[in-house]
Amino acid sequence: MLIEKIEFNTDEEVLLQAQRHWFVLITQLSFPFTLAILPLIALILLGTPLIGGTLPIDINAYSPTISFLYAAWLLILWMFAFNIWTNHYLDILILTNERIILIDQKGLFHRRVASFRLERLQDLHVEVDGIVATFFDYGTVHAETAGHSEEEFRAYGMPRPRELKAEILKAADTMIDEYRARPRVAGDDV
Amino acid sequence: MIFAASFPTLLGLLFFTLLFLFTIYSCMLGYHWFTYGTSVHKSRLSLSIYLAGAGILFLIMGIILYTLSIVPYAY
Repeated sequence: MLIEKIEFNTDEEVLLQAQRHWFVLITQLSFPFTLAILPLIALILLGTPLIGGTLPIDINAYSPTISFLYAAWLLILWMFAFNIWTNHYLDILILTNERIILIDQKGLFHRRVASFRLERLQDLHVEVDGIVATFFDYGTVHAETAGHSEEEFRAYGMPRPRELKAEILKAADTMIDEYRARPRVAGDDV
Repeated sequence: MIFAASFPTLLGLLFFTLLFLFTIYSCMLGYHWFTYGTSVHKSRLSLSIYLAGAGILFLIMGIILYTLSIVPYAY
């Protein structure tokens, strides 16, 4: 599994793991669901004489074929839905006492794994955009890191973003305190 | 009429193409879930639901295909 694949340092421990909010998944799954019911609606509308959609052919004669094609369509959508689930399930933010690891599954065989040490954390802010996100309490966590590249890490659709921000800041503060309390060797602070 | 008569053959071709694609796709999904997933239980549950749903759809398609192969169309 994933955790065994990440090479942690000897004194590094995982503080929390966060995955995207379930409502984000539901929103993404609504697309294949709509596509699944669309042929049924079209069939009902085409077969309704009131709308003027009478078909020139007898649908009943083709019902086995239509059922077969609909089942095939559902199968394709089923596979598509599980592709969405894969992207959701494998997107993960891991906070350890030393760094943040952000894994973004963009598609099958397309992963982006980014990590930065907590002492490089420069700015951290959360963005909760919209009524739904406010109601279900999810949002985007942006982390800016110090460095010549001024990298920015963005975790979209994270549940309880304020608590997540507080946890990250707490871990960063703890790490900086430990770093400061470390006994210094002569010539260390050049 | 020739087109109508070749329907079960076309559907059969579609069925076996889908079966082939589904098998490959299942292996790809299984590889991702069990390699990069966070919990074995969750990965197993995902695979079970995925296979069960697809199994029902393949069963429906198989029954229709079998019925079409033994009962000729009355056009």
